[in-house]
Amino acid sequence: MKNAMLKLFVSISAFALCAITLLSLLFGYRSVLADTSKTVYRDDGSYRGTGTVTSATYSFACDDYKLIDGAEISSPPSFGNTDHSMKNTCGPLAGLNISAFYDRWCTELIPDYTPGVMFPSGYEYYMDKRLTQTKQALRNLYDLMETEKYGGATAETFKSGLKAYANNAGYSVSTSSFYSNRVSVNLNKLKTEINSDKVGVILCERFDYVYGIVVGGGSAKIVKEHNDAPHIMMVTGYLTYQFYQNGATVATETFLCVSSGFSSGDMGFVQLNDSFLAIDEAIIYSIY
Amino acid sequence: MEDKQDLFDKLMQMKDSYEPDPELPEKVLQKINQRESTVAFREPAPKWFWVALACLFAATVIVYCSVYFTRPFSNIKIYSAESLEMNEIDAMQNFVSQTKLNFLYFDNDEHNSVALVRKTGEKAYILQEFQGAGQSGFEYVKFRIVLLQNAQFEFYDVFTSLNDTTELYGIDIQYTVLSRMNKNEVYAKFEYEKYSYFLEVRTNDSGTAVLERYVGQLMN
Repeated sequence: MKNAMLKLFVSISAFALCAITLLSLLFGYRSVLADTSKTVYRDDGSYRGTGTVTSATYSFACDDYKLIDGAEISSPPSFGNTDHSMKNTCGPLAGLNISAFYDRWCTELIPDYTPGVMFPSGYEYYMDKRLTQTKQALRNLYDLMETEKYGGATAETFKSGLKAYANNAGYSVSTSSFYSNRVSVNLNKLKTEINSDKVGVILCERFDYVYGIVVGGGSAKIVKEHNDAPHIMMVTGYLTYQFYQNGATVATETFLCVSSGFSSGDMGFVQLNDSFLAIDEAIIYSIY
Repeated sequence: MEDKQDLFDKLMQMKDSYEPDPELPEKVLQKINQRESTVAFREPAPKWFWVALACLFAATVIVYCSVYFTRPFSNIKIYSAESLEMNEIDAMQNFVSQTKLNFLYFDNDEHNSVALVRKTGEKAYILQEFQGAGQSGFEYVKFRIVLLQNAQFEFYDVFTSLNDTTELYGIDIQYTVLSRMNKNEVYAKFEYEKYSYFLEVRTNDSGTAVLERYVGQLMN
């Protein structure tokens, strides 16, 4: 009788243990599936992102050009990452760029850091001097955005991480959208915000990146790459150029000015209305 | 035993009843001749065929050799960004004295790195980045010194259509300037002794003034 009771108890316990293990595995797996189904913004340049990079450079006949519209921050911050223990850092780098931009007014947003200097022509930001203060700020943003866990930042972790970073320093964050469609943004809104000393970010499923616009010798050359890795970049303005040949307009192109978020800390452009470009979100950020 | 005897008798009967075909040898010879006629060439190829074949071969060799030996930049190797690895340089002067290379560079320790070819460890180019002070604000300077001969890198793309030229300190410089809202973007390239140099400057000043300033710094 005693043995029978013991057998029954062991059987029930084993069954319960198996059921718990199975359920936890099932729910755990489901939650992982749900997490990875979100876009993870992860390109960091030095590893050429985790996507495929292809040249998209093109030229066209052109004997003159003119800047017909635009607004830009004169010399925005653009940080890179030299700490190889942190990877897929575009989200934290965009967060650091935004923080450095607002550190001008929000002192100690990056502790013990002076972001730039005032010239007679306006405020100019320092380039990335790879200081301990900014490296530490990048590490904090990296952790707050759960970058290691996800292999990059999701839209949610980017937003919550940057908000937490600002809140921890005693500041608040407000956002508004300047999204227009997958290949363009609301330029009027961007212009208003840039002229009010604000910056934006774009979260892209895939993107083009322009290294240079070269006009001369009867042609215009747009040196750019297509990258299919999801990426986040700080937007600091836009420039609209009209290109002419024999007095006639041959092209009108608009380029967003961006701090790349690559490990190199490059600054460049994103060409709008490039059919390869896929913008998920375009957000104006304000820290106050 | 009886079965075996029967079989033996049957075989003996067959042998006795067999009459050989008197035309068999002729038939076999006919068959052999037929086969040979299908396998062998009926006639050897004409001479003109061999002459034409030799001419075609000679023409192919001549065309291939002329294209191969006269092709432009026959030794140029293209390096993708993935094939290079950037390593930081702590002190530029130490690096220069260690490498014993004689090239122009900015005496500046802000951001210096060397691009090494991953497979061979060869020094491909040196990248110097720093923030200079212009007449009315900061200038972002990016300067590349290419050490590897007969090489081509991805960043060359930006420098292939520079159409303005100027001569500074006896060096021919090709450049172009892109106007932005409040800044100019200056792209310039030049060669000095055996190295190629690529300069990018984002500035508030005019392109030529910037070139004079930075090329002057390099030469002095």
